[in-house]
Formats: sequence, structure tokens, C-alpha cells
Amino acid sequence: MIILITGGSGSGKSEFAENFAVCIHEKEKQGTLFYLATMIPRDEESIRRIGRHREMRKNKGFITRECFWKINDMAEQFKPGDTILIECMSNLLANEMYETDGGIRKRGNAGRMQAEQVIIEPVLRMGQDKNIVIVTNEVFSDGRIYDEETARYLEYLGYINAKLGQRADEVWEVVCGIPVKVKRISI
Amino acid sequence: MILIVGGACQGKTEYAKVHFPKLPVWDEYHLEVKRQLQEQGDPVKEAVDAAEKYRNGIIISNELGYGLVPMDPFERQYREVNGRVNCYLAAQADTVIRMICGVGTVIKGRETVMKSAGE
Repeated sequence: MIILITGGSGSGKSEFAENFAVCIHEKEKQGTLFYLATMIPRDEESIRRIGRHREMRKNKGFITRECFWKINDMAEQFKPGDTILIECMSNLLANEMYETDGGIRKRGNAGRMQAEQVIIEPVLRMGQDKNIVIVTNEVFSDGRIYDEETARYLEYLGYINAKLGQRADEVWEVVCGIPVKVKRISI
Repeated sequence: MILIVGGACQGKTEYAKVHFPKLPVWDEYHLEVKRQLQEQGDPVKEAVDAAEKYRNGIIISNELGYGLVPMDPFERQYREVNGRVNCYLAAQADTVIRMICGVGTVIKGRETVMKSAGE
């Protein structure tokens, strides 16, 4: 199962996603509840941010695994029935584009193909027998014209969101802490 | 309290005027958040008073968090804190209306709550 949760900055999407993952895990009655943390602690602000998230989830039963890139390398340690919260896609993509060798370096269509291989396909594969809750970010509406490199980031994040959204069982947008349903496939 | 949120220029103020002409309105609450931050205040605490004062009224605020993370530290903080304030106001509100392209969608509460408030 794949659940995609999006929203703006400060919208409460993370808290909603955590609670959603906990609910799925409890219903599942098996497996382990994982939290894939993608933010690299590099400066005071990012460390504060990480601290806020740790505080928010501390009593929810998550086992935290750092996953700055190469999500496919982690896939083996998860078992069917596990619930895995990926927090968040916007960091994971930025890390793959700017922090690690070999991630997503090419341009245009070739870059998209890399995004498919490095992020989209591994996540979809994991979703076949595990519960994947993905937090992503609406960063597309400030009306600014960005430099080529930043535009490339926006393009790939939009592409990943769209691909995952199409395949997801549920898509939610969190607005001011209120979950607004975008898509839900009822079985 | 009725909270109306949305991006800039989406018809929030007009919507309040048409649907709830008799209720007191605190428009552009996000600018209040900005002012408080500039004066080193705590906008999340201030929002407690605002929600109380307008418990029978309307608060209108912009959504600011739908772009890339700004380079400027103050802009970054403003955007994030404004989101948290909106989350708090939405939690306190009886009704939350979100505006896009002049169209309001009730994302919390019921239409009936709105109707009785408008009368």
C-alpha cells in the first residue's frame, strides 16, 4: 500500500503522516513501524528541525533509520507487513541531486530516468507488500522563475509526486492541519 | 470562529463580505504574524488571544507555504510560523473555508454552521 501526503510548509503534514502510519501499523497487527529520516544534520537550523521532529514522534513507537540517499539499499531490511514512513521526498530528492555521487545528475529525460531508478521504482516495489507512507511537499506555487538547476529540482519533484500519486492508494493534502482528501481507492 | 485561508488574491475577503456581512472580520492576519515576528513576539501565543477575541467572527489569513524554501532566514521563519499559526487557528475554528480561484470549500465544519453564522 502506498499513501502519499503532501502540503505546504508548516501545514501539519508531518504530524498527520506520523499518526496515519501509526494507525496502519496498529491495524496491520504485524511487522515493524519504521521512520526513514532524510534530513542531513548540517547546521543549527537543520539540527533544530530534526529535534522538533524527534520530539513530535518520540512516543509513537517508530524505529528511526537514517536514509539520506539510495533508498533501494535499505529495502532489503524491511519485511512484508512493515509500515515505513518516508520523511520526506523533497529532502531525499535534494540529497540525490546535490549530496551523493551517482544519484540524479543528468538533465532532462535522462535525469527523469535516473529519478525513476533511484527513487520511484524502489518505493513502488516496497509498496507491493509493505505499507509506505510518503511525506512530500508542495513547493510549486510561489510564481518565481528560478535558475536552471533549481528549475530542474522542481521538475523532478513534480514528476516524482505525480508518478507516486498516480500509483498511490490514497493521496492527502494537509491544509492548516486539516487533511483534505485528493484521492482514495476503495477496495 | 470562521477561518478563511488561501493564497493571495483568491477572493477570501469578497467571500467573507458576501456570506457573512454581519460578522466582524480580521483580514490579512498573516501580516499581523509578520509584524509580531519583526517585533520579536511569539505569534503562536498571540494567536490564542486573536482566536478568543474573534470567537464570534472571521479571521482571514494567507497560505504562504507553497513555494521553495526561501534563502532569507526571516522569510523562512515567517512562512513556517505563519503555517503553524494557521494550524492553531484552524484547530480553534468551528468552520474553515479554503479559497481557490474564487471558490470556497469548507474543509472543516458544516455548511449549516456557516448559514446560521451568516444570518
